Amino acid sequence: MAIALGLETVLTSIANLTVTDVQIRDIDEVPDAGEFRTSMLFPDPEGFITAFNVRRDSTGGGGTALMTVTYTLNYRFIFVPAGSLRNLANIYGNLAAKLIAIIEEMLENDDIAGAVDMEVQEIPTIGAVTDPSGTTWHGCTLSLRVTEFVN
Amino acid sequence: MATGRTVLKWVDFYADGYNLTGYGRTVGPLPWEYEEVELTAGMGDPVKGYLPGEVTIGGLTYHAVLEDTALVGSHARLGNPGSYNVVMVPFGIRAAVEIGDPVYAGRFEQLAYRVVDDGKAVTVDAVYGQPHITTLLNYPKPWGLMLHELSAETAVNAGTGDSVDHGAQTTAGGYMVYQVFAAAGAGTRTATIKVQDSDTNVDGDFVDLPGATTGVIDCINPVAGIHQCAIGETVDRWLRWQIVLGTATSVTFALSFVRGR
Repeated sequence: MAIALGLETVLTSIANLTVTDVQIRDIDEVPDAGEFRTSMLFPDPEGFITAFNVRRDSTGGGGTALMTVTYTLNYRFIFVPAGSLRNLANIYGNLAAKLIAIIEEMLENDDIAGAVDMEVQEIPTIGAVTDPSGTTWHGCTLSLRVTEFVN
Repeated sequence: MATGRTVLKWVDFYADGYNLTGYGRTVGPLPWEYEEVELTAGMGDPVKGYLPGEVTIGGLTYHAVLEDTALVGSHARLGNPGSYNVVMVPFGIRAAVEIGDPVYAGRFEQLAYRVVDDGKAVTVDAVYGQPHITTLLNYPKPWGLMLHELSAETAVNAGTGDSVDHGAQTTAGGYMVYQVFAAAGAGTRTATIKVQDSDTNVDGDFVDLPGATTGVIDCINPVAGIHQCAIGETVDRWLRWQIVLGTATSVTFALSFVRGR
């Protein structure tokens, strides 16, 4: 039996989720730099997949065994460039509202195609984050824990 | 209806017409066991076997979050041990429960209600024992298939999409388990819920399965029950739900059927 991980499908499924005024990017759409006036959630180029784990649920060698695969997908959310606006209170209020909308969308769609379960695991950082070019933005990092059945 | 493996989040729990799924954390074990017996043979050799027909069904614990919403919360529904409940535990297969999914069901006595501290949420254990002693089923089997997932119906079933292929005809009867969760309509909102069978999946071929009917029941309040066919009843390959609305205009219910063997 050929093993088929659903990771690519999962990534596309996440990219297809809808949050107003937020671009959610697929793994082949990671930006080289943030785009002004565009809030964006994209796979974190530095450690996109962590805590990858395979557990055999049954006997069987090679591709025969039933397995449960779990991994953490790490995303960055960039909201507005740091210093682009003066009113920090206003920035953080809108950042929080957008972040809540993202989390709600993730929680509502816990059975996306490619996975049997997806949970919001943690938001380790809220504040200054960088885009891939090194520019500092107001935003956050977001981790999703994904469970897949294999075979 | 999907097949394959599943995860716990798709397991539902219904008791006496109340859907307690949203409160549950775990449920189990869901035993179906035959008594083991030790006999001494003529030569003095120990012989071990089991007692055919002496089945043990039940003994399960529903572990849930304590929630005290009046009438429908876990505390209101489970905090009454010493009573008998018609329980259904359907297993959705990587999706919400739908027709064709496996279900464990029976009428069990709730023996205990315990508050359990897990360090965070206040949780409860509802411990169920054996089936109801005065309404024991003729069938030593708790596992069946869903014929109707928890949803509302406003008209008769005249289609072929809402039927379940059991693979072959059997001649060993069976029993239906139903849960009515809500209804709309006039008066006591009466309706009849029943099982129909057919040897082909053609609408006009389905006929009522003798014994597998609620008869006219009031659906104004949640209600649940079990109805058995005669032992040896012929049950055709295809089964489907059916409803006859009386004064009810809409009935929200779940229905399963267990084939005898």
